[in-house]
Amino acid sequence: MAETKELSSKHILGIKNLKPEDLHLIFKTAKNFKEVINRPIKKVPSLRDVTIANLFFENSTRTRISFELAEKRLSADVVNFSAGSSSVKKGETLLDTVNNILSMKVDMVVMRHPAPGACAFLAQNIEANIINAGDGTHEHPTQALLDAYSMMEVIPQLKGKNVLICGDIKHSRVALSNIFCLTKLGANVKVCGPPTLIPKYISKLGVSVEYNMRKALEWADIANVLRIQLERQDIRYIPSLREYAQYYGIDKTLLNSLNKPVVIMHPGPINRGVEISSDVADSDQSIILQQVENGVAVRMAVLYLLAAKRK
Amino acid sequence: MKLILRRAKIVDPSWNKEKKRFDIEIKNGIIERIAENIDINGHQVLESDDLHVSIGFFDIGTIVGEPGLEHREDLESITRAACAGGYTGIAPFPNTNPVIQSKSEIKFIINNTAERVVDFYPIGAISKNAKGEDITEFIDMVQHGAVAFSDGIQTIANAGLMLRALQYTKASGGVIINHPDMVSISETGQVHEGEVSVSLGLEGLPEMAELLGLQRDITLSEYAEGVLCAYNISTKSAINILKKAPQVSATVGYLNLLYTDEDLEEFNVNLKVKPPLREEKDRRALVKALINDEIDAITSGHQPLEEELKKKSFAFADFGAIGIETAFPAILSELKDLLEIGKMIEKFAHGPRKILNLDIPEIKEGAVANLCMFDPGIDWTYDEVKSKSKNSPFLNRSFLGKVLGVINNKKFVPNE
Repeated sequence: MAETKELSSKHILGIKNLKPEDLHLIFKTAKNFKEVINRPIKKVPSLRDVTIANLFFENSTRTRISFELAEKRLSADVVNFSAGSSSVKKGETLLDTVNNILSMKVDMVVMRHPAPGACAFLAQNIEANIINAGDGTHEHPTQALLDAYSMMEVIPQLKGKNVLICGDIKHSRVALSNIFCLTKLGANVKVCGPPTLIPKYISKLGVSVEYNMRKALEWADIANVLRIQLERQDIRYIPSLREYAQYYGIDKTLLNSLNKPVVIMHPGPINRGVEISSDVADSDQSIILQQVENGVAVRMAVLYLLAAKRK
Repeated sequence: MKLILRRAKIVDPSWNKEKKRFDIEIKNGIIERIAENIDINGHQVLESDDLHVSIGFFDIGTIVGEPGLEHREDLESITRAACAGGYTGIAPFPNTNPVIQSKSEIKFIINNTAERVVDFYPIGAISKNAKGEDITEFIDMVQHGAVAFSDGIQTIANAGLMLRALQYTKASGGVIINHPDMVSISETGQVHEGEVSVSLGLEGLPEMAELLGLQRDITLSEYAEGVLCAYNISTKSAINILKKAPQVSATVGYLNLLYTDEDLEEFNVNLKVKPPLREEKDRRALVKALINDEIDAITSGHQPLEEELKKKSFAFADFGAIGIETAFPAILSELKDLLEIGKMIEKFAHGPRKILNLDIPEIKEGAVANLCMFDPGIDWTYDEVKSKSKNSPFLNRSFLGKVLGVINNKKFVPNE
C-alpha cells in the first residue's frame, strides 16, 4: 500500500469517498493519539486557534462527547449546538445554520443530522471542513473508522477475515459506513437480519446476505451487532421486539454453542436483552468498551489530519 | 407582421424528403409563400447559418403556478419560458391553488391566456382537490375547454377512482393522463431503488412500482374502454408492457433520457425528480422506445419550485425541476447521435398533440404559421432563466443547439 501523508479530501462526508490510503493514514495517526491519551498529560496543542462547531440536530450522547473530548484534547476552541430531532422539522433551519456558521468564522464543523445528504449539502455551501457525525440513514464514517481500528487491535490483518454486520441494515448509517470501510480493507462482509430490514440491492456493495443468525455467526470471525432502530421506522418492518430477540438476539448460549470464538462489537447504545444479552455485552469476547476508547483517538486523528490539510 | 425566414431547412413529416432549403414568407400570421429566393422587400428577416423550421412544440403536464402559486410561476412567466424553449402550446397540469377542477378554473386559464403566442389547453383534475377521492365534473369542464384529465403530479392511487374516471370520459371525451405508480410501495422513496439508493442510504423507488401501476392502468382502460396516456414512463419493464398495449399512448420526461441515478452521487437536489432517474439500461430503452414509436412524446416535466423547497439536504428537498426552456436544447445537444432531428420534432411537436387529439399545424402555403425556429449549430449558455423559479440542473450549462424564436397567433417572439 502506498504511504500517504495527507488525506485526499478536505471533508469526511463518508467512507465511500475515501481511498484505502486515507484509511491507513487515519489508523496510523489514531495509534499515535491513543498513546497520547493514555499519558498522564493527555492534551496536545495541535489544534490551537482552530474553532470547531459541533452541530447536533439529532439526539446523541456518546458521539457528541467523543468528538468534544477529541477536540479538547487537541486544544481546539469548541462551540456546541444541539437541537432535538423534533425541532428540525423538515430541516428548514439548516440553510440558516449554514449562514450563521459562515458569519462566526468557524474552521471545522462536526454535524449530525437526520437527513441523508445533509453534510454534503453543508460542504457545497460553506468553506469549513465538514465531518459527518451521522446523516440520517446515509453514513457515519468515524464510527466505521473506530470499528475497523478496534477490529485490527484484535485481528491486525482484516484482509480475508469474515466480518458479520447484523440487525437493522436498512436504516443503519453504521452498517453502510462499515460495509464501505471493511470492503476497502479487503475483509469479507456479510449482513444478517430480518429480510424486511435488508435492502434488496445490498449485495451490489460486495457483501453477502444471510437471514439465519446461527449460520451467520458460524461463518464470522467478528460480529458487529447493531442497535435495532425502532425510532427510525415509520412502518412496522418487524412484528415485535420479542420475536426479534428470540431469533436474532445474541446470547451466551448461542455463542457457546458455536465451535469457535467470535469477537463481539456494538456501536451503542445497547438494547440489552434485545439484540444482545448482558452476559455477552460484558463478556471477554466483547470489545464494546475498547470501541468507545478508540473512538476518541480515531476522531482526534481525523480532526488533526483535516486541520493539517488547511495549512 | 411581415417576416421572411431565410434559407430554412423545413423539419416536418411532409417535407422530410426535401433536401433543399427554402425561404418562408409569413404575413399576418399566415404562411404566404415557400420558395427558393423570396425578395426581402421591406420584410423583417430571420436568418442563421443552419436555420431549421418546424411546427411549434407542445408540452403536456407543465406546472404553471397560477392561480395561487404565482411566486413560483405565473401565466406571464410560463409564456416567456415556453417561447424560449420553442413551445407554442402547453397543456398545464391542474396542480395549482385552487386546483383546476371545475369550469370556472378552466375558464380562468382560457380567458387569461387568449391570443398569446402560446396556446393553453387546460387539463382538469380527475378528483376534487387532486386528493384522489371523488370524481370532478368532466363533462362541464370539456364543454369549457378542458382537453384531458389528470391529478398531475399526484398519481391516482385508488383503482376504483381510476376506473370511474376512464368510464366517465366515454361521455365527456378527453384523455386520462396518469403517471403509473403503485403508491403504497413507493411513497417513502427518494431515488430509484438500486445500488445508488443503497449506497446513499436513501429510500428507493422500486422499478416494480411503475410496472404494477402501468399494468393496473392498462387493464382498467381496456375494461372501461377509456383513452389512457401513461405519463412519463421511466423504466425498461414499463416499456415492455406498453408494447403489448398499442392503444395506450405514453410520454417520457426529457431528464430521464439524459441522466441516470449515478448522476445523483453528489446529492444534486435539482436532479431529484419524479419519476426518478433510473439506470443506464432504462435510459437506453427509453431512447429506443422513442425511435420505435412506442413512446409518443417527450415532456419537459416543468415543475417550478422556490429556493426554500430545493436548497435543502437531499432527503428533505422537494421533487421537481424546471425544464421547459432546456428540454429541446438539451436533447438536441446530447442525443443527436441517437435520435434524428426529424424524430425529435415528432416527439416534441406532433406526438403531444396526437395524444390529446388536437389539430396538428402544417407547414404549407396558406396555413396558419405555428412555427419554431432553431439552429443546431449555435453554442449558448443557459444563464438567463425566464421562469420565475431557478430549480434547474442546467443553470450556467452550455448547449449546442439553440431555439431562435417562435411564431403563433400572428405573433413572432424571437429568443434573445
